[in-house]
Amino acid sequence: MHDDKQLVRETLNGSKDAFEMIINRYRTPLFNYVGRMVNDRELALDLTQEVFIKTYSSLHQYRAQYKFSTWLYKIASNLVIDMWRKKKIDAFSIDQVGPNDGERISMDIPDAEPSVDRRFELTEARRKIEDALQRIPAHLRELFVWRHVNEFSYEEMADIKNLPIGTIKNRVFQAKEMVRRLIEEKS
Amino acid sequence: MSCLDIEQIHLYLDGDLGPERMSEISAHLETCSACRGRVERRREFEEAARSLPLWELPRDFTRNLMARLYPEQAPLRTWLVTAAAGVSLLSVVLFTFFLLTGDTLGSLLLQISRGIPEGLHTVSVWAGKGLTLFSALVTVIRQLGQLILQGLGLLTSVLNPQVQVGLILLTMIISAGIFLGLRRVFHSGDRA
Repeated sequence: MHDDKQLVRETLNGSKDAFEMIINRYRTPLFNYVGRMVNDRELALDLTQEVFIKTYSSLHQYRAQYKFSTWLYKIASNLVIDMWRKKKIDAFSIDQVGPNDGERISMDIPDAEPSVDRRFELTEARRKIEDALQRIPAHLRELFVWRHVNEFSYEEMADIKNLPIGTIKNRVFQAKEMVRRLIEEKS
Repeated sequence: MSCLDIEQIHLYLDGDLGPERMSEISAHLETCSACRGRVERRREFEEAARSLPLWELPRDFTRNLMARLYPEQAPLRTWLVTAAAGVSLLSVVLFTFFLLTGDTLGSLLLQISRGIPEGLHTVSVWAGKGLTLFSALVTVIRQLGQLILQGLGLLTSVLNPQVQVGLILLTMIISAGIFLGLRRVFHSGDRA
């Protein structure tokens, strides 16, 4: 199986098949990331296409010492931010600095009492998570999606965002607790 | 050991602590039901969060994107499909003409040039035959054309252009072979 760097080299040498393989490898995870960031299927489709087009046109700038997926998601993240800026979407800027950055998490959401703690069915739990995800700040939602949907390590996320690993972990924990709190509040 | 804070719980669930610290927490969880409950609820949450359903892309996503990235592909394929459909249609017309008349268009033109009155007569007879069969032939050709276009559309989406050109050439050679072979058979019948 071709690795990403080899496919990039072949694409730069004129192979269409190589870039098609890159698309097929990353289209679903990218679409799922972008989709959850914009929460609109058609817009997510357009943006996912734009990510690949931007990647293709910038491929000569890619440096092999970096992981290709990290570089690709950096492009995707910037395009999502640009789209929001163009549309002047105000709520929860994706690149804003979180309120608890650099601090230990102090947000301890009180757990429901065991007697009322419902072990709701997994499907229902997923639906509630999806719903709550759309109500947390975008810069936390992005990390939540990368961690749980795209299954990135903290190191990979730190590379994409150019942030210390500690900050990334803190934000991911914060995102999880916030989603849990929203689910608890709604139940 | 004191009860776990939220960060410790998440680090524990991630397995992101040293082995000694992991053992300490595991031991604490055996004796502290409050912490055990908090860890379990977060473990269930993690399980649900890690299995969120994937959004499915349309099947033609890659094809559409490749057409945007490599725009010369689309005109090439369109040209190939049009050319192939044209060649196929012409083959059908010539073949039908040959079956009806036992002659080729070339020889018809030769006859016309040799004697216009005789040629006109021949043409009018053929035109009568042709008109009778025209409507039926149009239906057949249209359906055949649609089938050919569908087949070629499928073929061009799967094969690269070089292979496509090769296949079209091969089809033309085989068609010509069949045409000439049938012509020989018909002519031997005429002689007999």
